[in-house]
Amino acid sequence: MPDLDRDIQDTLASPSGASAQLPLDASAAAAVKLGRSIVVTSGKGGVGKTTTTANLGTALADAGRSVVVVDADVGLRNLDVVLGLENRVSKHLLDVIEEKCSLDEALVRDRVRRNLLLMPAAQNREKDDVPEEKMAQLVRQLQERFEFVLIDCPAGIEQGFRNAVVGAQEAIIVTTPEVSAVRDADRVIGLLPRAIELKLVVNRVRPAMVKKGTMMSVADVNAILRLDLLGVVPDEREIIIATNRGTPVIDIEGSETGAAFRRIARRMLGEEVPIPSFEDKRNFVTRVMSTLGLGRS
Amino acid sequence: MQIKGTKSGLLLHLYDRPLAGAVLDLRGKLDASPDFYRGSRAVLMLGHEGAEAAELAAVVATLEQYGITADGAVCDSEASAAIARSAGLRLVAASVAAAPRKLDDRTGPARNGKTKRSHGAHEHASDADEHGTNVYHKGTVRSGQSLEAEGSLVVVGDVNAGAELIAGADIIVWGALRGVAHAGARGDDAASVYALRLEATQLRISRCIAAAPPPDKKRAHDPLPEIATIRDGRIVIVRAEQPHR
Amino acid sequence: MPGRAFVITSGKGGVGKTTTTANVGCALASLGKQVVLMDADIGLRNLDLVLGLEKRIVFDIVDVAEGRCQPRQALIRDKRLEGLYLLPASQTKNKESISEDQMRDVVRLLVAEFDVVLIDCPAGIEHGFRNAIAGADEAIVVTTPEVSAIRDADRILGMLGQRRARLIINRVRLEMVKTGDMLAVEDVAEILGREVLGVVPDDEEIIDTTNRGEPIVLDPSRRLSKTYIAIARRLTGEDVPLPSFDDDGFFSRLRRLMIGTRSHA
Repeated sequence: MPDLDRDIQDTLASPSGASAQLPLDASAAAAVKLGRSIVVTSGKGGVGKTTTTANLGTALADAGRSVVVVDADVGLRNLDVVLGLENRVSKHLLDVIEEKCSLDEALVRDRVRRNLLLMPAAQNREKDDVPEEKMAQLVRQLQERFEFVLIDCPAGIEQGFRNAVVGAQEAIIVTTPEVSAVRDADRVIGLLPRAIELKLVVNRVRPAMVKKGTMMSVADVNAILRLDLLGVVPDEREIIIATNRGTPVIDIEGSETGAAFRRIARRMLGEEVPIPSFEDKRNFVTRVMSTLGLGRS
Repeated sequence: MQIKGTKSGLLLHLYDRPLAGAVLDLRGKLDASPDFYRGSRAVLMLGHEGAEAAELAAVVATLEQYGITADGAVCDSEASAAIARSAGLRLVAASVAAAPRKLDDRTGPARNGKTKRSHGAHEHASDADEHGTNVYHKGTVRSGQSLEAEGSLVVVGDVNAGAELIAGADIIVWGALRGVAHAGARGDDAASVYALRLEATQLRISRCIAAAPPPDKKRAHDPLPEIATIRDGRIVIVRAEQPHR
Repeated sequence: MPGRAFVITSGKGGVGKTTTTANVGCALASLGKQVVLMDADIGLRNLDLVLGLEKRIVFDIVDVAEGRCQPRQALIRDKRLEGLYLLPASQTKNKESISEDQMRDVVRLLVAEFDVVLIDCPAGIEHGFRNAIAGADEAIVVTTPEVSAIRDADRILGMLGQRRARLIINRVRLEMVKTGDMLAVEDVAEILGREVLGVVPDDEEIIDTTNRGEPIVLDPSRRLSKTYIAIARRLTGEDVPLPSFDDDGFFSRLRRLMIGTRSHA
């Protein structure tokens, strides 16, 4: 029977560090501090890239940062639906790249958070239509205007994936604790340029199944992937409801999943937030303190 | 007779007998554009049946006339392997007849520089000379990545499932070997695979293939270094503590 | 009488294409058919894992296409079920390693010798998708009763040309349908406008079986096993009624939304 506490302790040994701010571009006349460009990728479809992008974007916006979430899934867009903005999409990424409209005309502002914007993907075109250099340029432009550029990557490792990655300086690898997902994540890691900083999010964890031995533990996953762990997100039915409603799950009262995304956002901002064991409702830190007789039980 | 082009060169399907027929066929095809393949290398797929050494020599000579070098043969039996050897062709496993792998970015350019250094430093210098350059790689080899060495291949790190290692001589993994390893890929039955944790999906040595046994749960928490070699025509795995050879 | 080739596709990733391919394939074989399961997800192969056949792969579809082996040499015979074979994808290559014509040729060879060919399609609508559908006569579109999945399935339906397409609705959670938190089967079918080949309830046991490489159909005592057998029987032309879930399809804001989005496709 896997010891969940010890597993998490081991993975905490290499905590995610402070946010890697890019150095100021010294050659620019007016020093523009570039935002962080982060691609959310996985290889395997359906592990939660879009949900992660939407929720992290929302959480970072709540923390006061200016955020743009970019839907790089040309042809099969979903980020707009998850954010409940599909009725507000008129222009999109390809229109901007082809100079049919300006950046501002394409960006869609979130209904609730003024500092969260969406760059929608085109629905009726195909991924081969977007040249890589143009995508990189677009991401760079967005970095000049926003503190965070989160790029929602399509499933797979084809041109769509390459386009999503080309502008990114950091990557969040999302996986679930399943053999196929971990295998695909490993493949993707091998394809990402060395220069990109990688972090891992393990999604859809079901602690009861891990305990029974019918699901991989986070430690099992990371024994293969060997990445800095950014966060662990539990599985719950609230996710489906939230997605269907176009509300980020962090807005659902009492959602453990939502709370996990908020913690991840805090870590992305440089805070040291311990990763809780989901077996115990109290978080890890409180548990340690209570065994030492220091905290309230 | 078929000619297939792959990224590494040509594959010639020479399954039909007599081989003399293939020579005519070959001329016919190549005459259509005589310089098209000049400078390429070719691997000959000889199948099961044997043939006259002279016939194969004629095929090789014909290829030379069009600037194509025959430098390997894939043989499915000892009969065909014998004539391949007589023609001076090295035996190649089907999986090696494929395109030479390019290392993806994240694997890093381990080959350049290190290869030259390890060539001299290698203990069994004679092996290195015989097989070719050795490759040393540091870091995890990821699913879908492939590392190839003419001589021996050393990886300091894990080799994940879905990754592939191919070496003319030995393979040594200082970490967990979970993918597929093919040692002695050019027909060296004496090659071995060494790993700190030998959990390979599949092991291949020369022309022997062995699928992984079911995972040993007891040993999972206390893995021992192991060595895979060929004994009596089969791949066996021995614990590293036991005297080797 | 040549066999039939079906592509199992979805658009959205993670809705259960590979699991469906494996289990429907096993179910067909258990009904006495000669079946080949073909993994078209080159570079991200998973069908071999789900079937537990990874360790026996020597040649793959790219080897067949490049002439490095005969198609027969690449087929892996499943030792647990008579008549079930796997043609694996390559892991070290990518989808550009094979062309639509080559795929068509391979499928043609296979349908000449087998009753059914099931092609496991990669997620998305890129090169890999086009390769996968190239050889297929018919399509089985897998979706879950979720907005994103339905939207992508809708898009896929528009890219299948004249092929007959039927639906498998996966991961249905009856309790959630009853409380109005999930679309009913009838609603999904109506939105996508296609015949339903099968409805598969959500079942935690599937995760473990796919991880261990033991398709759930191999255990006749599991309830999902019966579901897949029913799907297989319908595929062979038998008239097996869909189970009634006793759910009232209801008209939600969601449904209006879906009908609205369909016009964008």
